[in-house]
Amino acid sequence: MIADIFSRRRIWVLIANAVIVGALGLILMPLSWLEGAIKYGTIPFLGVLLFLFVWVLVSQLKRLPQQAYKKRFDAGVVVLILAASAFQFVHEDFGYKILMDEYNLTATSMNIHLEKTAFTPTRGRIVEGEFEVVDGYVDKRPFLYPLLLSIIHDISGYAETNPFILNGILNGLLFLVIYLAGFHLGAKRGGALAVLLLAGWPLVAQNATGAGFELLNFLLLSLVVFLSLSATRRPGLEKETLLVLAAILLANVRYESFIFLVPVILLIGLRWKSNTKLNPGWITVFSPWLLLPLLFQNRWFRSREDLWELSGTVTEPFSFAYMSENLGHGVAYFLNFGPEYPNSILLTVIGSISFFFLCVASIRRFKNWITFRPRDYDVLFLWGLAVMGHLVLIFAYHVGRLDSHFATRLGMPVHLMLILAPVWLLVKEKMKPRYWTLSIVGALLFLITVSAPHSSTGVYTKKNFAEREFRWAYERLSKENGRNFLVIDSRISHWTSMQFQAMHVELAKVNRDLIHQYAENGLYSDVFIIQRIEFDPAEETVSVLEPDRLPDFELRMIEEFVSRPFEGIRLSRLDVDATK
Amino acid sequence: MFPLVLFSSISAICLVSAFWLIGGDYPLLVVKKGGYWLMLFTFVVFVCSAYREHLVSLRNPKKWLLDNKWVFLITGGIVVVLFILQETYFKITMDEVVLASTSMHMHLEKEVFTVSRGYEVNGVFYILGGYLDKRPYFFAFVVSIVHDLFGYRSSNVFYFNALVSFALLVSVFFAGKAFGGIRWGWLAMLLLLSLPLFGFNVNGGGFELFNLLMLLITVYLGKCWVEKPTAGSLTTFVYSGLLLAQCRYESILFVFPVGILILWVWWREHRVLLPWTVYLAPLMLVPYVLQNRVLNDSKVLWQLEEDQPTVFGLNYLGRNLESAKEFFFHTGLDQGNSLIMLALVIVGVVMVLAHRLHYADYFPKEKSPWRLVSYVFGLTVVINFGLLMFYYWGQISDPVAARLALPLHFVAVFFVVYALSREPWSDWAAKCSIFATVGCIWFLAIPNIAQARYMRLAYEARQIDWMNDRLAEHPGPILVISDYNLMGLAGQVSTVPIIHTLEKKPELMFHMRNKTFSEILLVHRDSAPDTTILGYQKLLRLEELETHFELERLHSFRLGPEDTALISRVNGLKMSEDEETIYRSYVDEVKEASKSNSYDMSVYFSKWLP
Repeated sequence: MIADIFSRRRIWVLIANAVIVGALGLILMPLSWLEGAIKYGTIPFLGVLLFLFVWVLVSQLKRLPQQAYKKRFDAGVVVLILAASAFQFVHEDFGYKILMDEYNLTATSMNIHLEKTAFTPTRGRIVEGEFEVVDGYVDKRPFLYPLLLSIIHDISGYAETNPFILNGILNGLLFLVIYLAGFHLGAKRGGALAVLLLAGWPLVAQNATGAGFELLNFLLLSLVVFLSLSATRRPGLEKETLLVLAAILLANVRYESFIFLVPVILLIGLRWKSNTKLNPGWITVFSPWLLLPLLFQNRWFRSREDLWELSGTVTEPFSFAYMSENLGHGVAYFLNFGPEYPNSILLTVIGSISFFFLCVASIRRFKNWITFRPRDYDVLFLWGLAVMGHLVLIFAYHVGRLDSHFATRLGMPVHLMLILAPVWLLVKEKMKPRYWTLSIVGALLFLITVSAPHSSTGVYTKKNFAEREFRWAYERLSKENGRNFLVIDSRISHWTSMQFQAMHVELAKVNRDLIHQYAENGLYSDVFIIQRIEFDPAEETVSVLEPDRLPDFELRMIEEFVSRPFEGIRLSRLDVDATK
Repeated sequence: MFPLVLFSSISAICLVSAFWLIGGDYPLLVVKKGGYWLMLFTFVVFVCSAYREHLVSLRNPKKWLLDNKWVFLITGGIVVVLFILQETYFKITMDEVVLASTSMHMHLEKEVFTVSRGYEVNGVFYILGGYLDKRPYFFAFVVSIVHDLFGYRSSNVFYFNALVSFALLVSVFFAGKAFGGIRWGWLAMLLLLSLPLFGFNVNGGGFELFNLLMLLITVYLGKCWVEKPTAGSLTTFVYSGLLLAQCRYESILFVFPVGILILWVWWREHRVLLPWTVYLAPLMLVPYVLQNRVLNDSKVLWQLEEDQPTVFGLNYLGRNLESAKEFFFHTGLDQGNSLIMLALVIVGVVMVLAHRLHYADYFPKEKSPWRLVSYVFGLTVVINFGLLMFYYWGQISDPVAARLALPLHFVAVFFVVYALSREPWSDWAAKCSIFATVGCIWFLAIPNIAQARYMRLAYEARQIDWMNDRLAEHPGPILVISDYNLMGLAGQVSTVPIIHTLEKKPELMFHMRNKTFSEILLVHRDSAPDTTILGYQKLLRLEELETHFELERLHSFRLGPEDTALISRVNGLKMSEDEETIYRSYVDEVKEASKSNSYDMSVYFSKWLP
């Protein structure tokens, strides 16, 4: 009895913590303090969170008997997981795939590496050979990915290629977790099928070779879903703590991943409600405090319209008005057969059919929730609702066009259900081994005949002209002696993340005299200007686009690069003598 | 009886459809669109049945691997040595280049087509045109799967061929071992290694070794079928035969030994065994027939010269026999022949005759499955070589055609092993032949491969190799104007033939003015007058090219006397008045279109790609 009350007390303490954290994060903290609180507070909080997660995970793994490992893994399984994860690297080249996002994350990780503060540099300069950040801002993107990246920098030194190492590791872990989730549902063959279905989805390869946080987000989502399944079938205090910590980590990866806390809270809450003897762990009780920096950041984001990246006539980041159009784009993405988008038509077809049956099975046995005896399909259904909710949110987002190169990755979470639902269906229908063999061979053939050529063509990655333009300029300037020169460009986050001295065109216009003076004094060994150009085939002329024009600067053209028909960039050098 | 009637009916329908019913453009369409998928089906059935029939029955694969570790290690070492001993590149112009291009198309589009037009636009390589080639496409199909699994690189084929060489040598070892012990395995392997022609192909881009490997696999599976006729062994044997038939042009002949062995076993067993997969087998050969029908309409695809009216003819026999004599009896290092193999074949013939006459008692009386299968397939290879002597390009002393003699050498290897392994001389015969073969490898084969004299006159292959190396130094998107456009395209570089460019100068000017390409590079040859390339095309002289292009020489490479390969940057175009007028009309067209609301520049971009 005393124990019961005590455990209830813990739940009340947890609720009290959540209320305090909510009030502090969303109401009480003065707006003017937010920037400092995020900048200096986030990294220590995330550090504690990460430490707790690793600690609980390791102790959980240590506790598992040898038999549990033997049951799940053999040489064939290890080869399959390694081969499937290695396959993601064979067609796509390593590189930055999404402008702004990926460069900003790398720049943020550089700052965490150097200063241990949550801050995104936008400008820096070389001081006695070393790169020093001189300007920046607190970004809207959560900081878990940059923090992990900064750990790689801490170990191996700062390099703009480190995100590829991190994503390479995450890619391997993703296949491991997907295997475990598949194994949970359908033993080894279930794991194998899940791994092959995931491997045949070209978007994974694009992100595994990129520098973004999508893969981490998908990995943690998969882990949380797997832990939800596992903790529901065989509950345990440590498993529950691990689930809570994993869910908080997930919330710290992408902006909208916050919503994935809801199914975890529901799952744990319903379990506590159904069993009054259950005792939440102390880490769980105080876990709301680990969300505090995220709440600060969310409030900061909402208070700063300039961070919303609203373009043109768009006034609202989220609106139901966007849904009808975005839904059309979503259908175009999910039902695409060609190499234009990194979708998997196999996942769309068999995943959605299986998911439909899963929903029917779960709804028909709704009392499982009332008596709190949820089965695998109930947990998957709950998560299905969550990822569908997430998809609806994306469709209501002003850039939620899934067939757009920049937004495709936003549709990743829903694919988790499309991967796991077919495995569940084969188990549920007690399919004979030959059907499993047929499914596995089918998934393998799909990988070879559809996914591989699509990944190899890589239209969706290669046609990112802005990245190719930057890469071209970067390769040209990397050949220069030292980095004591200034780059003037209308996009500078890339240059900063690569530790180049860069200045925005608008700022350069204002500082024209100073730039000339520094160039003359030798403070800048050279000044290079990057400008977007367009060709007019009718008039047979080339012109610099308006935002990139520098009318008061005398420039000497070095080279031009046409990145797409009739458009490209021009690399010029400031002619200081001509200005005199 | 009913299964046989059904199978015959299906075969008849397939034959009639393939030869007569499918007309118009459909033969081309069926092969292009359906060829890949039928090949995939054939391949999957073969792999699955081979796995079920043979690999699963391997009870302790680890023990088998450990027992034969030295064979694997030594063979691996040999392949590595052969790979590094000589330069790696596409050695047989057209064949290897076309296969590379076809495998790229099969990888990217899953269609049987050879890319002849493609451009890198917007960072992506787009295939805009192609043709159906004469070469059977099983090899290109397998290489396309290698591309699927390991990423596209035209050089993948070299590593694949190295792997095939390894598998072939190991298989030859085990096949030789079956003649009576490990020493015969080593002798078989050594005899093959004594043939520089084999070594040349280890790091080439051709389908020769793969053809031999498939031949050996089919022979083995034939032996399994004769030994133990089951539905599984029949399926594996039939599908292996189907795949072998689509390895090289003349490998279609192997359909006959496969058929003979099936019929023989049915007759022996007094029953007709026909699993459902075999009913579908005739359908799998329909694309092959259709491909040949498309091919028969094209003289260019056969690469026939003016004085060569037909592909096969009596008039070629004398020249081909002369050439064969020159090849087999060559004592220098200019041909890829093996003198020791020739000597041992002669010794073997004498021994077999002697055996028949004096040692008949030693001959095994039983008809072993190996013997029967070897006779049938061996005879087919000999007939095949006989046919080669009537082929218009059957001069095997020509480096390009020498590889056609590989299957005959392959049979010779096993004939020698068979002859020498007879009692009572097998002991000393094995020792002497192994010793002599090792000596010949050391003194003849290795220097022959290392010197690669046979490639000295292969100007085209050497020029292509050099061109690829030089072009890699130029950051894209470049446009290459070259007679060897297929090779450029296989490297996913925008490449157009020189002759074609001369007809499209206004279009080229449009893209030059709008800087579509970072550089336009002309790859050409400064050669003796009236030189022909690719077997039939007259080479354009440098002076002639300079009347069309303003050229800046960037790289040159001396191929031989009077022959230099050149890479020049095209800095300008010299257009005639007519061409200038056409170009101005293009600009006016764009001007006019730009006034419209629906103006889309990309339409003109694609329309005027050279």
